[in-house]
Amino acid sequence: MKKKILQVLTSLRFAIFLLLVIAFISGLGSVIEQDQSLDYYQQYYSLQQPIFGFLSYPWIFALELHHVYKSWVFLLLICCLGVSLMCCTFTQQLPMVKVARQCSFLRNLSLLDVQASLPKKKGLSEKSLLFLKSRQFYTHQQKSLLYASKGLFGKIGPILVHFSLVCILLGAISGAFGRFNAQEFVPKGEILHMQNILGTGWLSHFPSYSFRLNDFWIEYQNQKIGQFYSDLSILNNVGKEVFQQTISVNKPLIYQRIYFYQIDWNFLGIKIQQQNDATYQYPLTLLSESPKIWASWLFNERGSQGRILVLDEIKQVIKLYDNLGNFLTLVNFNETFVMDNQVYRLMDLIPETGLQVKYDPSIFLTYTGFAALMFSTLLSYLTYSQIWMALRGQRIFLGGKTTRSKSSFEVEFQTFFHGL
Amino acid sequence: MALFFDNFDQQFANLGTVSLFFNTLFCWSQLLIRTKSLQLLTKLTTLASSLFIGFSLLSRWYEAGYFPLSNLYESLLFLSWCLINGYLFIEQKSKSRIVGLLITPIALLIAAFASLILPTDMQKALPLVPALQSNWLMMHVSMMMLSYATLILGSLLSIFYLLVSKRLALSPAEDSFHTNSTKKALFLNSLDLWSYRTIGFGFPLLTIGIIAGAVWANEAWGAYWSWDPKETWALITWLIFAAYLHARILRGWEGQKAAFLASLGFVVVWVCYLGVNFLGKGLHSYGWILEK
Repeated sequence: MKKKILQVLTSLRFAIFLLLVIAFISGLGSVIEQDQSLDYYQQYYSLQQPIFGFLSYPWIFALELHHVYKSWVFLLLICCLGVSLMCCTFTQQLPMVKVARQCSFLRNLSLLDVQASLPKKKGLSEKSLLFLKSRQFYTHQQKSLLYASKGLFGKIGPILVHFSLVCILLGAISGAFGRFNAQEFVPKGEILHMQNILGTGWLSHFPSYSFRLNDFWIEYQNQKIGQFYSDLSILNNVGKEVFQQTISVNKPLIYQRIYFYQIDWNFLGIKIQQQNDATYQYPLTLLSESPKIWASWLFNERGSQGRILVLDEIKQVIKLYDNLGNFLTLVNFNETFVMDNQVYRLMDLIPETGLQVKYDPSIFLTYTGFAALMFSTLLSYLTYSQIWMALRGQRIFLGGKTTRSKSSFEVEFQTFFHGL
Repeated sequence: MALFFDNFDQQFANLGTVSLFFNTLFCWSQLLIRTKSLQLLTKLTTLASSLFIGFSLLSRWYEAGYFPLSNLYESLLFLSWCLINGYLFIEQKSKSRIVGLLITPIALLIAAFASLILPTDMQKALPLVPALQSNWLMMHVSMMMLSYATLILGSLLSIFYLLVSKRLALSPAEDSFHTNSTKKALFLNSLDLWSYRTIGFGFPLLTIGIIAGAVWANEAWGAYWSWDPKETWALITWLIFAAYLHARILRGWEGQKAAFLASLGFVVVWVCYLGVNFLGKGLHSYGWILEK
């Protein structure tokens, strides 16, 4: 029984089957929206109008199609893939490399790609050795047999591919245990610690320090947004600054292997000075996401008027409307406007930055797997060629076999043959 | 003068499309007329198309200041350029004119779609959004486009192999290297071989492209894999072609069964490149048409 299971697991057909099934299930996950609420599936996969005539939301939940990539079937398939990879490596690939390094006896003539024969001549073995060595073949000689091979790295390549794939899978699994993910919005000048946790593993633990946004600004380019910058400081648990860096998109802050990414931004409020006297902060409300537009409402208790202030992300200037929505004027920052015989001066905006905080303890393992996979798939492209020469009676028989570039190997073999 | 230089790169891309049209015409005419001059014309128009589109991309790189692979228009032109050069290389090495017959219409369709059908404001070179301002843009997108081109080439050869072998009802697995095979069997063999070599080259490129994308995603927002439709379909492409490469080792599967997998791969590459962008959601969405 065990032997039969092992046979199936190491078989290539099973591996191909696994690859195709995983591909199919991944495809399902891209067509059906993942991780949405119950209402979403009830609306789009309703019982009254099921997709394809039968796919309604009870089916979706029964087959775990709403979170395919976390479903037990998918995870089991991935595990099987990992097992199949390792089984194949240890039961087939490694022994093949071991055999290839030694002098390999040819059993089956029908496996050869090219064959030839010629009558016995003097000096043939020296000529062949010279030729083969000049073409970077490794030669073994044994009595009346000559064996040459080239490109052993092409055989090692697939083994490394399998190992690196398993490395990546292990990195992903162990990362799932120890990582955490958080998103925070920090207003300028404020101090925050990690409270909006999005994802954790069973073994994650959190650091005890907090972070402060010193400043946030936007660089514009050709009337469009160029880049966002946040000046962040990390403070230890007594409030002392231990690290400071300005981050931007694609350039995160790294402190003790925790990454802080710039992912979002907002304007929270606007500071307006009233009658050269006190400065008040008025909240800005986000009206639209793209393009981002904010509005605020300025009102004076003594008078009966009010003003609507509208800010858009590019112009950095306030549009002023009266309380009926009629456009009045544009006001730049540090300029004044009048309402109810009071002079108001626009002072400043209060920005807020959106940060993604991420910690993955096994990223090193995953990255090693990545690098090894890139290298080993390229390595597997090398071809592995073998040539045999045997003396039988009065004739010398030659044969050759190669894994990939058959035609150029044929050419090489012909050249070798004609040279003898 | 400024007006002429304004969309310099687009003019060259349009020139490239026109010369691709003549290239396809000449290439297919070779089926009817076999003259040396027609062959020469085909070769010339192929080289011209490659030069025009290549120059268009280079001038765009110079003008905009970043590697020209940031939107659909640029990536379509780049894909077309890669296909043309891939076809030139294979034709040179295999001395077969079949590749041209298959590839030139595809390259023409892609370039024509980019130059004539895409709205002009999608063709403009806009400043990069902050998320794309990274050196990984060059590495990841170019590797992906190169791999798409080689995989499309290889799988197209496999589709053609299936069509021809079905008509001949021949499976060359039995007649591999006998020197007295019929001409047709040799031809099928050559198709099979070139398909294998091209896909075998495209597969590591695809691997590097996907990994470069994962590393970029991790450096930019901390998640190297988020099951985004584009990422998922790139993985599906990788899995299908891995299955193809493994199928060729299996006794009895090399030949038609493997070619079928590669043909499936052809469809999957197109879904991965263009299909998912129209599905609406995700990091790679162009947001053109919403699915529902």
